[in-house]
Amino acid sequence: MKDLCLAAVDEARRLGAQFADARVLFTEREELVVRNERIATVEIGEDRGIGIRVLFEGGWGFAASRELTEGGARAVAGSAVEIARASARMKPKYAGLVPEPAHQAFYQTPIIIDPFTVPIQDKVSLLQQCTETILKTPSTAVAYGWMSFQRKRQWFANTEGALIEQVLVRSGAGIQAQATDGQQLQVRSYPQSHGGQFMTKGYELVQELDLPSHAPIIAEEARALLSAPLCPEDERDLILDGSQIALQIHESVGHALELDRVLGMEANYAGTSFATLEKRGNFRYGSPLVTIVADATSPGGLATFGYDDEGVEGQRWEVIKEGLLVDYLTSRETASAIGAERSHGCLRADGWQNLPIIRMVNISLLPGSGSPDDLIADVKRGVMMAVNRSWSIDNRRVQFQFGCEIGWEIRDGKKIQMVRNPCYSGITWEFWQSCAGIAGPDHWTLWGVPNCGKGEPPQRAEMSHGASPALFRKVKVFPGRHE
Amino acid sequence: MTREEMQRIAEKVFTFSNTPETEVVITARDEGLTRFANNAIHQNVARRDVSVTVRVFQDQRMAEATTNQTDDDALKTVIQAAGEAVRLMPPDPSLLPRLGPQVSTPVEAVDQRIVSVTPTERGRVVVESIERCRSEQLTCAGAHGTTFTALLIANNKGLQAYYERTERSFSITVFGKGGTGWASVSNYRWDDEEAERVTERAIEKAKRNRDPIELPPGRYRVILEPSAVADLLIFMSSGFDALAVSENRSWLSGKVGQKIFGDNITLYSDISHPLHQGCPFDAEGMPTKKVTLIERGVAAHMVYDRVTATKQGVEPTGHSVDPKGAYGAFPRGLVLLGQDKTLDDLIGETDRGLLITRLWYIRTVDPLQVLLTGLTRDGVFLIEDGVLTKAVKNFRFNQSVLDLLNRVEAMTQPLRAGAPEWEWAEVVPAMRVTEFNLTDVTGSAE
Repeated sequence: MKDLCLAAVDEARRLGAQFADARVLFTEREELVVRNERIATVEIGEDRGIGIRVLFEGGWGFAASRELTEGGARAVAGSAVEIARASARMKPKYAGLVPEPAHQAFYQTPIIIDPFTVPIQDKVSLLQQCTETILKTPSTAVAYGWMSFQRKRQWFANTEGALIEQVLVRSGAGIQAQATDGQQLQVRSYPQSHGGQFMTKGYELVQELDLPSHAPIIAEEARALLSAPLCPEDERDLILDGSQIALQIHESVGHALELDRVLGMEANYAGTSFATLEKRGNFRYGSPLVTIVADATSPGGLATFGYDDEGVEGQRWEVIKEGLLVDYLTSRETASAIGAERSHGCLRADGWQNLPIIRMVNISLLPGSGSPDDLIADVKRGVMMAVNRSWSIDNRRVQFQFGCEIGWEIRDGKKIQMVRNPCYSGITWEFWQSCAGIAGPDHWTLWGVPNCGKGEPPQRAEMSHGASPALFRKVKVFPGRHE
Repeated sequence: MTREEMQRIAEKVFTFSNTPETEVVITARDEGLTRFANNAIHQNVARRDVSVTVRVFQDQRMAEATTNQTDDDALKTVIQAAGEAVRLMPPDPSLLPRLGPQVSTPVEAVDQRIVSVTPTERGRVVVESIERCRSEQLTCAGAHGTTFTALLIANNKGLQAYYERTERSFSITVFGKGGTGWASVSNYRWDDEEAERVTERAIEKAKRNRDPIELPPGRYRVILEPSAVADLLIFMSSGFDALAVSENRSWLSGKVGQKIFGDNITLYSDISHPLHQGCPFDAEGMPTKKVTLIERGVAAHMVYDRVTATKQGVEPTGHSVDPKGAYGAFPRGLVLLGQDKTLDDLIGETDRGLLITRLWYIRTVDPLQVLLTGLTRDGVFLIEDGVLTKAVKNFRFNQSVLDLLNRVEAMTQPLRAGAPEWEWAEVVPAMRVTEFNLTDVTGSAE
């Protein structure tokens, strides 16, 4: 497949391209869903193809095809050049590409158990065991169990001499209980919502999660939520669990620092960003406790790789340092546009079919110290919330509202009762500036986000966010309810 | 890929498969898209792909496997993968036999002008819009896309369900002096004037969106343009699923047959509406019927997949979302009837209110109340004494769609409008509603 990449970039060069890179990608996947007593989904899939990106006189073109022959590779290169020529005639603004060594390398995800070698019946049985347990709890409306596995094998070459092969494997699993009394629907998921936990690991992830022992717990919590009091409505101290912090990072830090958004390139769809370039180095994004790193090298992260989809080596860098905005997520061209010396390696595509665009790598809040109990002990009147249920933020990533599956009211340093429909809202920088405590490394988890949408045509990307539970002062909390 | 090529692949699958019931789903997609921002093209792409899914049914079991390769070896491999998986499945008593031959409503949704458009032609339209914005000292961002998709569901019991469609989409955001203006269109037919009309609408909005004021959160009389209405209605759609209703997970549970909205609300699922021309069959290949969901305020009918319909002793409506009937049904092709009024009429009749262009990032807070949160975007305008007077900064809303449909004062004629965050379109009017719950401000008019 390396030969096909080389043939494609060779053809682009022959047709006059000033730069080209090509990716051949094989993807294998397995999706399993058990819904109540039924096996709702058993999907085994594979797809293969080549995508080539071409620069011609400052105009970009991208074409993709499933035809994996030398003739097909050269033909798709020809299409990309034709499109790039069309772009070049329309006065593009090309900023140049910052240099990157021409890596010749191999990278693969370290895994212990190849998930594709575990029999489907074993996986389905495990999920069925969980849903059967959940269904035994009164008021249960629906029980779900999910597993998802993916292996990507990718070859990359460019006209600068890079030649890279990567094998990336990820696994995911989760369970969910939905309970209803006819007036409300309460949901509890383990270990988090949106399909569960996802990591670049093998089947060992599923074993580590120990789904069956958590099935009765979430079922009972979903039932108990039906009669729990509503979340209080007030300005209170708020403790979030790590998985909700992960989504908070994703929406209010990760997307805000994507340099294509900052530069207006996503304005028509995903939006722009308040975190404009003049704020770099002087904008107080969070309290001094808040240091957030972008890291394509975090073990187990969904965006952990050797090289991004334009051949830039995976890196780790600070984007928020002790509360100050210090850096962005970049590609070779956007790095050039802001005068950076090197791309941070954030250009990634959804499959071979799509043009790589800036996507988050793993973006994580560094841990503090102590335990979640220490955070609770520091709260007089507050709420603790866990596991995301709804999420919404404006197109400049300023005003957000999140809802969680479950909450607990805190008084005088103690969790006193479960509360339902907990929500909170705020302004991005005010929220992060109110951070008053972060639990320590023992409570830090890298949470996978397998379904991040961006771009036109829409592309899906995967990344992770590491976080410990954290405390925020005086946040607007309220119950999501019909008035 | 032509229909004949797809059928040849299907025949090969049936020949290679030794499972008595074998079904194949083939999709083909050919897509081109030009994106622009800061008054320049920055992405210009083309992609072509095929997907072949083989479903095998054996002894009340089913499994499926998918590939995008169509040579004989790839087809045999995918048949083998599905065959091996099906033998590992426990029996599923709910599973129904595959359908035999069906007759679907014919639809015409292909325009050869879209099929044959070149990157240069697509780009020329973009350049004209950019030049128009530049002439007004404005900057713009947007996308111009063309797509051909084809879908075949066939099995060795005689089912042959085929649908093909072209789609041309153009959307643009124009940056004015204080805020943005946005407009968008998506249609299965090419219209030479459409991009120009859309660009002019966005420019007009952007120019009007200057010196925005901030109004306090509260309950406002608002006029929602069709795109905003489409964005809200999509979230109540899953509630019409008979499976969800039977499981008490729907806002409609216990209300079927009851008067739940005013006489002015009539809602259909109608894929054959001239503005939709949607896929005339569902995920099982069952022909999709026109269903009256709400009739003059009464919750009239639900949509059914085959499994749920069989369990409840009724006819399926052809709205299944999956081949097993495990996830229920979804009402595609929504059509909300309107009134014989224009948007100008709605504005002119309003003493004080807000005109909302577009909504964004809507999510469900409470599914049984269809309580949603989301934001306004790209143009909110104050209406005073029947005239648009000022631009207003954006809001967050927390609003039940069920309440909203009980507070509709007036509507325009419906038109096809996309829900921008989703690849989804509905035929809906603009509507004026009272007491729309705007709960927070965002500080921006973009």
